[in-house]
Amino acid sequence: MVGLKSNDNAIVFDSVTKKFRIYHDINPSLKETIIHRKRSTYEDFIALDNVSFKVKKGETFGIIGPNGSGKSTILKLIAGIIQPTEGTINVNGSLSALLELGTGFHPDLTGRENIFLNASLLGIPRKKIEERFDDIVKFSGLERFIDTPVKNYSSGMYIRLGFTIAINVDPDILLIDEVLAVGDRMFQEKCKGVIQNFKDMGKTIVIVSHDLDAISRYCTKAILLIDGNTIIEDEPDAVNREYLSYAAQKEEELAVKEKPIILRRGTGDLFITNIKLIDRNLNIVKNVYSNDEINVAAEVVFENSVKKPVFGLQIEDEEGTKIYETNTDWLEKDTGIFPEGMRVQVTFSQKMSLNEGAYYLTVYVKDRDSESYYDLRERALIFYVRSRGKLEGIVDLGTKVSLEEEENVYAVKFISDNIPEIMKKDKIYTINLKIQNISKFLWQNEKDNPNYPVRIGYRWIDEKGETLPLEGIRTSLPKTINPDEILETEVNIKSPRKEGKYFLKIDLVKEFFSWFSDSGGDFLQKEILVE
Amino acid sequence: MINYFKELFKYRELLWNLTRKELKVRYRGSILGIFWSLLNPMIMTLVYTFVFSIVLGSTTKDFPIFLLSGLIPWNFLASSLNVGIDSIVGNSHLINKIKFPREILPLSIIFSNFINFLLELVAFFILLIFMGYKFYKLLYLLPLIILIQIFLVIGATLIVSSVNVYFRDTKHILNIFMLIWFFATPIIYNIGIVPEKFRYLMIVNPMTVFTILYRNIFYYVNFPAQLEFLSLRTLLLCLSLSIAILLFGYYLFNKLSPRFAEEI
Repeated sequence: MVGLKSNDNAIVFDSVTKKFRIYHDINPSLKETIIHRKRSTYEDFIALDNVSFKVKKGETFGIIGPNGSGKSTILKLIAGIIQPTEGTINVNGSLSALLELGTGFHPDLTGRENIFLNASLLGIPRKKIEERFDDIVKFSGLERFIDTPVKNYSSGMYIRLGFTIAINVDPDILLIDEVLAVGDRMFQEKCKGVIQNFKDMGKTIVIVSHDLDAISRYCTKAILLIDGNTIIEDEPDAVNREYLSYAAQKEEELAVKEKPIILRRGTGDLFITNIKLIDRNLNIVKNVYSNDEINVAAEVVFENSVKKPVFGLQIEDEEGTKIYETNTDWLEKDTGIFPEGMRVQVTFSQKMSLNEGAYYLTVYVKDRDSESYYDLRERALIFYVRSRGKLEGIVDLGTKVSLEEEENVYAVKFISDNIPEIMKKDKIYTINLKIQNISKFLWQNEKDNPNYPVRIGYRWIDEKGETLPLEGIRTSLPKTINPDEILETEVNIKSPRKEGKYFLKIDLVKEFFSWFSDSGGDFLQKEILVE
Repeated sequence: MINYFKELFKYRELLWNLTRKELKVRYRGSILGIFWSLLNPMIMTLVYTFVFSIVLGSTTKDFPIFLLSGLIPWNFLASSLNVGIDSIVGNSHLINKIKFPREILPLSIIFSNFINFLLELVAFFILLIFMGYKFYKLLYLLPLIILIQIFLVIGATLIVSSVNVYFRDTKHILNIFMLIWFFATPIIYNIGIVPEKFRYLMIVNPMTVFTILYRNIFYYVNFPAQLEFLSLRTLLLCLSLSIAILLFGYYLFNKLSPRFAEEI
């Protein structure tokens, strides 16, 4: 075996299995051990199951995977903090592990004293630190506080000092565990520079993260770890794709699993359906970036007449801790009376200032006084937040809520037209229109639904604001249009019989009489001179 | 073996830094600073002197010197064990995150206590000079005795600190054990008053031998007629027991330390 050991490899994992003992009794007592001749009962937990991989010298190697997949176990094994149960690990070269920054700082000692203490913990000779002391302090940006006890440091300062020491170890191999996202933006940039420097110097780096961006930015190779097994070892983008599809699959499994046992209770006076997340571009999304403006939309169908209900939403994190809740009552929005059979679209729009991770969304409608739920859709949706930077805590998402009757939410966006500014009187013009269905409903044409088709209509309004009697015909849609779909179509418009200044208003109409714009929707209006 | 010592040598600065930290943190923020460490044996001496010389009417001449000559070395052992037992468990954040020779942690406790021990000895010397004791006559024996006692202290501290990771009630047991050990060692009394049949039993305790030797150097040197002469067999037994405890302590510690991070 020794003969096979290649010097090109910085780290070799050969069929490594790591089992942990999970004790049922946390504090075993000596008495029990002696009298009953046994330790407290325990179970074996397999953190890593026969994992093999090689990290070549100079490679930047990424390990990604969901929480609890064994990523950090690998780093601890490489660092020699824990020993494998089976298999062998070969590490070629000195290493520095950034498993947790600021480990080993003593709160009562000053920054300066802690630098030396910490450096010696990492095995760096004092001389080396003395030589670099000024650089270290400068890099950390803590010149003014270096002789202050670290217990008076902010958490950011603490981390900065820790990172600075760790990178000054000058190791052959650098192990990084989820620390790229700490500190403020400026310090992060510095850290990125340092990592790039390490790369340029041909040093080996192992990064553990679930920040896919970091993995693809820095790494030359990556593995995906799930439940202690290596799923794929490939170039980072391929591994990231695999991870995303795994996450999507997992989410589906969750959805399937959860559907029959959807936690739903209520009086049955109304039902919440069709809960979804909609981004600024009106796309339905499952994953959001933190700080994105996101609408949570749900349809509420009233089976009975309900007075002043409270519409609310709640967000929980993966562990089920409630992170955020808001409702129309707290937002002091009056909801009014909803008659039987009415459909309402409720929209909560907020900035998703959430940290990276998975979150559960709950939507409810309850009675204002008795607090009893008309309908409660607990954990109706799971969504993933990916971050563009670290956030400190969660305070307020600043939700705005809107209620719209379902009939009102047909909406159109006029993208372009070629309406001339000057028209001859009493003539038919063919106009090219490009419109988009930005509602959540199908626009059905006459062929598909002769009773309630959507058509494009127009009206002329004279200078006095009078609508002229309708002369032309409304143009039927050429086909049924899906939500978000863009349609290019021709519309024939007949100009007024008399000269003058007019407004041409183009709008869509549903069921022959319901103009989209009458319910507050968009319409196209042009000022036209008729000669 | 050579690699092991090489690795340990590499971390000598850590040992020194942790020792200094231990001393600094212990005395930082207290007005009397390092003198606290001297105050403890002083108070103990006052109390015991009151009880023995005044209440019980003991005729032992210069009882404080008699007591301190045994109490100071005992305190070195006792505080090393009492503080050292938590040196691994109390530093779980380091054990879990950084790889370094784990024995540095108990060793740094022993070293800081050793420095304390030396300071106490210096203060004791000043007292002896003041009292006109001729302690310098036998002082050449002192380094050797201290060295052998260090073997014992290291061995015992390594045992309790590592076993404590696996069995957390080791600490309670240690407390009781230390109380018995203290009274089984002739610190507050003279071994001469112990019945003959128990004396052989007591001599198996290395601390008994150390106490007798320390007392010869510091106290009986002034009263040559009372000097206790120990047989070569007794001395060899003490030496081999101390070395055996040291080796066993190292063996046990190295056997248990690879799993510290998981068990802690």
